[in-house]
Amino acid sequence: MTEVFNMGEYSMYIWPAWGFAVLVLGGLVIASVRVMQARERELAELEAAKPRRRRQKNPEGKSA
Amino acid sequence: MLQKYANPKRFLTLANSVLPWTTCATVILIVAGLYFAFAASPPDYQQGQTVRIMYVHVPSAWMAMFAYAFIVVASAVGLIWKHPVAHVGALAAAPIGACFTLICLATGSLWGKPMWGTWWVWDARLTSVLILFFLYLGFIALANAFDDSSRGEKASAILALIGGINLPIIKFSVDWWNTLHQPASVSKIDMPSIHSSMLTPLLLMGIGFTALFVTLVIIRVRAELASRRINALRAAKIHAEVAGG
Amino acid sequence: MTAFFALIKRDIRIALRQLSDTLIVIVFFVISASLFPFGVGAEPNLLARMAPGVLWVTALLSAMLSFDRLFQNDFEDGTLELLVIAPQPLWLSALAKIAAHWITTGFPVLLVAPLIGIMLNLKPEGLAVLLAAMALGTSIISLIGALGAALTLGSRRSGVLLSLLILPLAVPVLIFGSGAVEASIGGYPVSQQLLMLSGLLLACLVLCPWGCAAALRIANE
Repeated sequence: MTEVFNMGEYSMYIWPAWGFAVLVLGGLVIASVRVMQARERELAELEAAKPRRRRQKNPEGKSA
Repeated sequence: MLQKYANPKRFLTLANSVLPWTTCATVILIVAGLYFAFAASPPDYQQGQTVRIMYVHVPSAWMAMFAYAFIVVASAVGLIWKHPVAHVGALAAAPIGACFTLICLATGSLWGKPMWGTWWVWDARLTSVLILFFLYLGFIALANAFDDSSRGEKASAILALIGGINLPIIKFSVDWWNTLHQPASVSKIDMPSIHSSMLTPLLLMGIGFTALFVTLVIIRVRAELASRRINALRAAKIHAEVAGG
Repeated sequence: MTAFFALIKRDIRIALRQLSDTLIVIVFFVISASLFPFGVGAEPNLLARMAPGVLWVTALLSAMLSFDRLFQNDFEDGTLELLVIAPQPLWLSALAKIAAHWITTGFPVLLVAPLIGIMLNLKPEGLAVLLAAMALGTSIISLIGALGAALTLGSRRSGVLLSLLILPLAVPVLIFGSGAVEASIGGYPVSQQLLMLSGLLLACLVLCPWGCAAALRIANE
């Protein structure tokens, strides 16, 4: 196992290269998923609130 | 077929049924690719262990081009058939493509230091990728520059088409320029030609990155469609309040 | 076709009335080119070697200053809406505005370029090719720039955005333009570079007015 991680004199180029890739792609995945979850939660709340508003509106319509 | 998925709801049903599969494929392919890239492949006879940088560099370069091609096609579909989800797809793909391009540049530079002796060489391929990165930045900036999002997506779609036509010209001119101005002090180890022991990890990582790209596009499209729906609901709510009050 | 020339005439007349806009481009071109000797040193050989590249880069950058107003005034006062609904096809109107832009900024830059070339110790053999290549190059830059201006019309911070969009697309012009001048200084044939520039110009003549028209229509929706 140590052989795998020891890339000799080139370690200092190989690991930063892969580290950078993992960092950028990982950051992108986390950011995308978080934004999606936040938006969809917000949308669910809004859609859950919608029927109530309709019921409130109806009596007003009748009284007018 | 295309028209059917212009409806965001229908598109989401399809996308959500695909999403678990692409997620699984991404994880399996990339883990397998990593195993072959680090454990199950020998060092290259010429570049030694630095060949392992190639296993992330080359697939990123593929993805940088693939994502741009995806954006061009999606923009064309959006403009010609007025397909709303295609525009959203193009916008969702742009940051992903830009990230792959950035990874390609950074890993190319980290490969160049031990092989060429400098961090950056105005090599034809690196230079073309750098310009591709600028094109991505322009596309993203233009798409976000308008208060009206439909304006931004159409303008950036036209830019993507023009960029798509221009890209081969840029590539050709950079190659031509590079043959005239060969950097003289650089040792001439070219970017390697692929041979069989490299092929398995390269292909696994390449297909894994493609699956990651599809997964991320679906996730970002879902986020964008949700936020558009939120805006529409909010606008309707304000409208109702104004009308009611 | 009368509408085409009328539009060119109108734009030139407006440019003459606002002469400072054109002058700023020329002055920026001269100033930025004359900064290079301060930056890299005034050694004649070095300057002569750098002259083609410096001339092309500064010409390209100074042109960036002129595009944000290309459609802006017409967009604000409603002229653009008339052009969109006019019987003349919109791409032709866009081409007329691009031609007027070249006459009022590209052409003056072309005239000043040999002077700056001499200041930068550019060899006299290169001057004729410089003029020919710049005539083609500035036209291409006008075409691409107009496209950028049409795309960014009405956006936030359109000036900066415009440069970000146009400069990468203008890389081939820069390569073949300065390549032609360098080749002529070195005594090599320049036909290849000039033919490439002509080809680029033809491609842009087809693509850019069409793209401009599409972008202007979107801006007017």
